[in-house]
Amino acid sequence: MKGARLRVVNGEPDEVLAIRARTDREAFGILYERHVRRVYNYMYYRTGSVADAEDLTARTFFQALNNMHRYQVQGVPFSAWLFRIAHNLVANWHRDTGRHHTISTDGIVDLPTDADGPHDTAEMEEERRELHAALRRLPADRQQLLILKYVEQLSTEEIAVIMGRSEGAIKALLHRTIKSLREELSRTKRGG
Amino acid sequence: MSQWGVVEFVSRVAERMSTASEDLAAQLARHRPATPDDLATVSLEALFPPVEPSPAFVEALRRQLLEAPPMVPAEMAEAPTSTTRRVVYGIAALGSLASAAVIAVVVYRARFAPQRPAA
Repeated sequence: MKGARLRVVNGEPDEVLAIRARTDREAFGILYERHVRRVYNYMYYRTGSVADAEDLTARTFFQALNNMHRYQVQGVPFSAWLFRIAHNLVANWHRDTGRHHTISTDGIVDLPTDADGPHDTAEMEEERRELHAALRRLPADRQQLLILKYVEQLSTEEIAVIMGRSEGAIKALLHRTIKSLREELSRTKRGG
Repeated sequence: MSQWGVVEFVSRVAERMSTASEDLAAQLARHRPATPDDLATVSLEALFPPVEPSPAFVEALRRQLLEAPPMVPAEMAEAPTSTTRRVVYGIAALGSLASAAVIAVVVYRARFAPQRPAA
């Protein structure tokens, strides 16, 4: 794949390990160690709950383990393949539980700030809350896009694989999402 | 020009080119306006600090994955073997024959059964 990034930590790249992992459980263990935190982070922000994040993270890795023989190296980075499993599981979870506003609010309270005084701190906190509220009003696919882009810091190419769209469509959706977020925030400011 | 003269000349040109390109890069960096993407990155990354799973969870799941029994690939488990296929086709054929026989008996009786005289 053009521009595909190979994740190389402790020797072998993900894609080589993924082939070995079809028959070698230790190789799968290395892949697990490399990706478990990112998958958990993604699940946490998509579900807003530690228990659900743990449950869906476990299901993601078990499903990956049972489907390693289906992973094709050509074309798709391993991380994108893994996140596609995670994406499908969390989409089913949302469908089954009927939840749509998923972005967790737990993390935003304890954020460190660079503000000078109590007034600035309160103002920044207020801005964060507004941004957060605006994010929660976004459709689920746009929330997902922002999490993949800014929390998981995946490339547009990887996000395209995960969400089953073209790179061009992802770029356009990202542009529209950020624009609508800005408009939403300025409306909130004007209104309040 | 002596050999040292050439070396010095080449080295100076290389140094100037290198300095010029660094200056250009610095200027571009200074003058490049912040894009909506840059601003979004700053705000959104700050909004979502990384969340770590508990070490106990990571270790427990790792153990479960490493100890899980090897799985039969789903398509191999689901794909019928040729023997299974033959048995299924055989049952289907017998079922069809039985249905045809029942229909034939019903039709035969309707046509050729002795009709009772009306009372």
